[in-house]
Amino acid sequence: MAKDNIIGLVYAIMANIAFVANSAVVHIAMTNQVDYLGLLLVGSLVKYLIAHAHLKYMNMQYELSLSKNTGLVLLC
Amino acid sequence: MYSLNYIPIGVLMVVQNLGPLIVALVSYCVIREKTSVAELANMAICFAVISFIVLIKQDDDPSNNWHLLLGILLAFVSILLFSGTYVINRYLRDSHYIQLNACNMFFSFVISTILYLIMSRDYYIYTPTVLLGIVYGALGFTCGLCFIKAGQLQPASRIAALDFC
Repeated sequence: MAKDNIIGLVYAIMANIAFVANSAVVHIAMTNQVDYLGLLLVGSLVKYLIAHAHLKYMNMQYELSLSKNTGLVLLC
Repeated sequence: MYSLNYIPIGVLMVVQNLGPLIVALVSYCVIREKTSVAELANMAICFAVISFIVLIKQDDDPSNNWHLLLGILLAFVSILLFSGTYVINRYLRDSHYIQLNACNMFFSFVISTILYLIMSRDYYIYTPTVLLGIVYGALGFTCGLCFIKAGQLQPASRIAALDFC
């Protein structure tokens, strides 16, 4: 259990670092007058493609998409 | 961010820093996850310090009280929705984090495509946008994956406290 806690904290810190780096990218985009909606579209497409590849690499399916949890995942 | 039209950024920051306390409250109400007294005390101290730092420098009063009220209300709705993601993430902890992340990214893509189609003025994406978008997407994927995994291993309020403070 203690090991899980430590791993959880490490993941949380990694998420924060990635979030800060992401904010820096948005800042660079804004200061260089890059279209924010375009950035959001390309970024989310890249995110989806990587997540899809990751899922396929792990031999998993989108089981959640048809389950009762769809609405909750959407909120996430 | 829309609330910034009505309230000073200092007030917005104070409301946003209520996030960990709201997550603790919502997670107790929804999934019966208890937060320890020490954690609550830490959150309260952090909130008090941030409020003190922000409000001591506050000198621009909004002229209209209704605007102030509306701005604070918008900020509260925003932080409540944001806090909800921590609790939902914790609620779905039995699902595999890779599947959750993939579903999350799929819906994120659908929503951003709809936003782009509705709000974009010229339907043309320039090269710098694509290059920055790739970096933004890769970092966003890492952030989402780590956030979901962390939420499955740690209580929602603890992750929120780490994120906000």
